[in-house]
Amino acid sequence: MDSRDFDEIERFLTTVGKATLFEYLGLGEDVADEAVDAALQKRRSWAQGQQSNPKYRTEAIWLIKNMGLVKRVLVQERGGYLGELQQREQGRKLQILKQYILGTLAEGRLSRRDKAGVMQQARALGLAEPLAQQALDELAAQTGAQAEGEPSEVFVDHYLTLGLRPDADYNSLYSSYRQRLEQLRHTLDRQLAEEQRDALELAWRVLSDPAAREAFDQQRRLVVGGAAPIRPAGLPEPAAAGPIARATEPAPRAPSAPAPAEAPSAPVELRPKLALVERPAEPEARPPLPPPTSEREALRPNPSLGRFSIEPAGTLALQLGKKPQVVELKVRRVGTEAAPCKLFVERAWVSVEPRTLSGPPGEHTVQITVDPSKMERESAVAIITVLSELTGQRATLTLDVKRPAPAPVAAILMVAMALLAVIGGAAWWLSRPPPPAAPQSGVLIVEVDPAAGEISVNGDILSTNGRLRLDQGLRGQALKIGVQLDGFAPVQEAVQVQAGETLTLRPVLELTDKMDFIPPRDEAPALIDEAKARAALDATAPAAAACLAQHGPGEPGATITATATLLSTHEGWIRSMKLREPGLGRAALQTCLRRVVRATRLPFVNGYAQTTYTWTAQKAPGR
Amino acid sequence: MSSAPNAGVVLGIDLGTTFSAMAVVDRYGRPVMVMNSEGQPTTPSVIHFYDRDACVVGDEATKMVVVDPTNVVRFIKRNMGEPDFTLEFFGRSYTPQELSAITLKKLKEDAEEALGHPVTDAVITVPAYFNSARRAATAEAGAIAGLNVLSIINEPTAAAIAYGLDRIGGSRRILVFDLGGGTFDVTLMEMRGVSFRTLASDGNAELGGKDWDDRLLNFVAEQFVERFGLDPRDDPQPFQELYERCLHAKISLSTKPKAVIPVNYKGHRMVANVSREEFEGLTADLVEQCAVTSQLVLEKAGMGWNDVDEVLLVGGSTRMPMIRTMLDGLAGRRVQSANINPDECVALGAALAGVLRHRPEHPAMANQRQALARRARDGGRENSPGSPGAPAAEAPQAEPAGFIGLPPVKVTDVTSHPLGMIVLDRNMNERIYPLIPEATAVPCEKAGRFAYAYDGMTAVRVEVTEGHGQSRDEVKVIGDVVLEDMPPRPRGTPIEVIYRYGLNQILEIDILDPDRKDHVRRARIDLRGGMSQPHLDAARKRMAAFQVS
Ligand SMILES: Nc1ncnc2c1ncn2[C@@H]1O[C@H](COP(=O)(O)OP(=O)(O)OP(=O)(O)O)[C@@H](O)[C@H]1O
Ligand SMILES: [Mg+2]
Repeated sequence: MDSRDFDEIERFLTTVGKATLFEYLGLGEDVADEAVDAALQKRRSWAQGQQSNPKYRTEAIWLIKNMGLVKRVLVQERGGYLGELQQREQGRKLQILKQYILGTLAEGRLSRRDKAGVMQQARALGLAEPLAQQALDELAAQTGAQAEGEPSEVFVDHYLTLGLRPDADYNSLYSSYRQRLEQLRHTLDRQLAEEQRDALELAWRVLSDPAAREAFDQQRRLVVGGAAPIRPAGLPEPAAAGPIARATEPAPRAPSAPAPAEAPSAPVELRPKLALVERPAEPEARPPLPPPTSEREALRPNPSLGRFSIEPAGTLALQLGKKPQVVELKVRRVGTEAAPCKLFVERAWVSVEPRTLSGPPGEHTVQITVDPSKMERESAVAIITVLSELTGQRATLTLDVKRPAPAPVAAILMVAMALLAVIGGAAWWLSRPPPPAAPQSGVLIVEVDPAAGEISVNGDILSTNGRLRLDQGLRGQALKIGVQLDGFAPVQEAVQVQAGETLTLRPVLELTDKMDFIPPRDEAPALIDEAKARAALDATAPAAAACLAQHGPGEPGATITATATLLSTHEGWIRSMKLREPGLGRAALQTCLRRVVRATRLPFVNGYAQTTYTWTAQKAPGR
Repeated sequence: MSSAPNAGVVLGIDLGTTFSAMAVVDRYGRPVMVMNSEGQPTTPSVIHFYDRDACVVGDEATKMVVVDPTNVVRFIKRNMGEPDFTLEFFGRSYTPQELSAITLKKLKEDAEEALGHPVTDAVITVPAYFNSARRAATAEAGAIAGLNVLSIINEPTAAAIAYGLDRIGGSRRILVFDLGGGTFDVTLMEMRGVSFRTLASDGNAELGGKDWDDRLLNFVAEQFVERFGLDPRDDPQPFQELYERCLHAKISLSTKPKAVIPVNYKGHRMVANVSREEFEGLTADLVEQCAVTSQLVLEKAGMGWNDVDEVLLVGGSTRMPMIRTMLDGLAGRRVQSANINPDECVALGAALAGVLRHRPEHPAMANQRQALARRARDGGRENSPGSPGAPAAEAPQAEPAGFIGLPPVKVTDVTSHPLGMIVLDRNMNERIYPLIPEATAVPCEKAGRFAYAYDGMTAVRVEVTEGHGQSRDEVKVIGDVVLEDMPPRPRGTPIEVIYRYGLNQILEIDILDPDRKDHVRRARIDLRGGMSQPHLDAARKRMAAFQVS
């Protein structure tokens, strides 16, 4: 059957706490198709009666929507469903066994008794031995743990000391022994030579005595795993030993050991710097789990293993745009399946998914969604707590969130209009003063001319007033700066601000509006709140004065007065300007003033409104 | 239209989660409620199936909830537009559209009885926050019921029209706060001159009085479980009984400080006492959701509470004092609540909108034209044509005071979700390009400039998206068309794409030829989507034979 269907059903079954659809419907696995129909019919009518019941709503609605799926799975695809169930059940048991094995390997060693315990556990769970063996090999290779003869002593492979195969005959044993003793004479390090001589002598003593060799061979098989009874059929000869030793370095006790081809059983007595998945932070390592007597016992968690770590931890600063942002939190759980973690957050604008981390240990990715639209304030803090209920371990991530002030609706519209539009006509001046003494984050300053508009960085609108200063976290990443202002051509610029550097951008926007708006005849002009309009237009005075000073008529120092009749549209933007004074018709002056007023918005003048405003300025001295 | 005497009648229908209502405009231009066959202005949106293809709708059905819960349909509006949702009664399965059609059929038949002539034209309302699939399903329900749905309009718009029509001429901003049985909408509207405009809107299609009921129900049921270890929610019948009791308790808590809820299950009895404070504590987060949404709407429009002239409370759930207290708290003053009936204004507004939009020949409109002409003759002593207060003085005695027909009104509905398309950026990564933003007045037209993504491509694929988001997974793809025969050009050649979206919910996509601007390739997507015509016809035929009483 389709695994997506299966997953969908599994999700549902976990919410209702049942293992299979058969169990959910109270049916046997070999039930007749008609009985399935009858049971489904009954359940459907139950669901219809309970779909508005808050306690059963989710369950009832799922059933109503997925009746077809359930029926198909239970009738047409029953075989596939049962097969899949069996396979997943086996996977689940294997996971339990792996937990057990990890507990056993926690010391970094695998003794004979440990191994027998694993096999016994596998039998208790109803898992085939080859599967168990495979799991053991895999985990041993992953963790770098290695087998040993007895828990108390280090196993030394005498064949390896002599650089021979286990099936070597007496003559080759002797000649290798002699040859290596001979070589030792040339070794300068006396102590090493001494140790190696001891090892060679021991090897020869054991292997030259048939009875002792027989006993050694038996012990070796157990440790290295090369014996037939527990090796899965069909696996290549050295497979069992191979993975265990893979993570090790060359053996110092056999410095002259020949190439691996001649020594199929690799050194096993080494203790590499091993990392068992992730070690709990606790200082003393606990002993491995004792071999259990039943499945129940195997499931009992070892508290030192139900640990976790999170990434990132501490405080994370987030600068949001308007859209919800997703932050990924990695939680790495170690140890046993029975130590789930829970996540808590007490902010309505932050949601965490999933809220419970259970199942086999490993790395989980938690999606933290921060929705700026639900935040009451522009900046706020949310604390996400991860708690292991078994061990009481707790870790927190603090989100320090800032979002931009809400932008007016009309401005949102503009962002969309310009994204892919052809960009041109804008001049950028870049100035890079020397970096300050203590370089931390770079500083980016954007000052738009005229002083208005939305500034976005990598798509997020961070400013709506034409000014932006960023001084945190800037360390050379690529930034896409966009500027939007109604009536002006949008501009985009890619920059990088290195740590410690200050970059100032002064984009000069090109006016695209012709400023020739005529209000529709059939719509009555709106009333304008003159005081509010005046206040808004007062803000244009410095910029307008600059225009008049530079482009206005008259001798330097002469006073120029300009009275403008202004028309605004529904959105409050000024879309037309006429100067009353006849002497002010110069194109450069007109353009300069138009840029100033076009960038000004009359707040809450939502309609076709007309107003007048007068600026005065002194003509600047000639250039 | 034709010359039939009743051709001008447009039934305005408020198809609610818990209650539905209907209205028409009389010949003087006044909107009036149409009573159902039980003599009530509102009809519970509840259906009880008592046999194959036979059912009752309304009060009778509500009574059957307790007796026969598995054959009763309630709150079906919450499942409108969900493709997999079907309910089965007496071996037949029904889609949400068909179930809503049953309610509509009852309304239509009752209206015909009350008005004494056939009714086919209708305007149906939906929450402003409904997406296109839910709107489409609503229109389909109308069609199945044998109605000719002239348009689907937003509930807050309808409410504002009903409220604002006889106050036309001034300029005011109205916040429509609509908390019904199953949906929640906040809309900021502006009446200026003769035009109604939506400035911003937000809501939750799954928040309503039902959620308040559920909180109370869970509260009481859990007390019972604690006491007796039995849960009355576990069986449909006791559950429905308890639900009804909680519903009534909720309503009485709107006026009284305390309510009692008796529970009787499997031989155990308990009486739960609930005070208004307790109830408010149980539902504080729901109220908070309403508050946040209201605040958000004002923020979206860039306004504050001082810019709101009036708050229009619509929907039965706004009768709860906690809602009014919350709004007062937000505004920092006692919000002036418009004096209208929260249960009726949506239907009244729908009827008005139907005439204003679709019936220029309606007698009330003709009266208005005459009045305008008369005023012009009299030397234009009255100022603007849009101010209705004045013409009333001139009204001939025969006509009721306050109205001379309907003034010329411009009603603008807006898109509830952004419409866009999937495009490739310079690095050939997919992204969503929003072309028509949310809250754009309909009908609308927006153009975007794009470029050839590949050298020599000859076809353009437009995947139309609905909703906010940056990637395919965050939005809904509601249409997919390929426009062929483009002239092969190098990558980067600019082309222009135009979206035109009309009141009929049809989206026209034009692609302008890069060489000849007058040469247009056009595709049409019907966002009403859903059923194909034959299916619709079949459903309609089935419904016609259906017994609704
Ligand atoms: N006095 C009251 N106090 C509290 N709640 C009330 C009161 N009167 C009605 N309600 C609730 O109002 C809701 C019905 O309101 P209304 O008829 O406006 O909704 P609707 O139009 O059916 O639903 P929607 O608009 O969400 O589709 C029900 O949940 C009802 O319990
Ligand atoms: Mg309603």
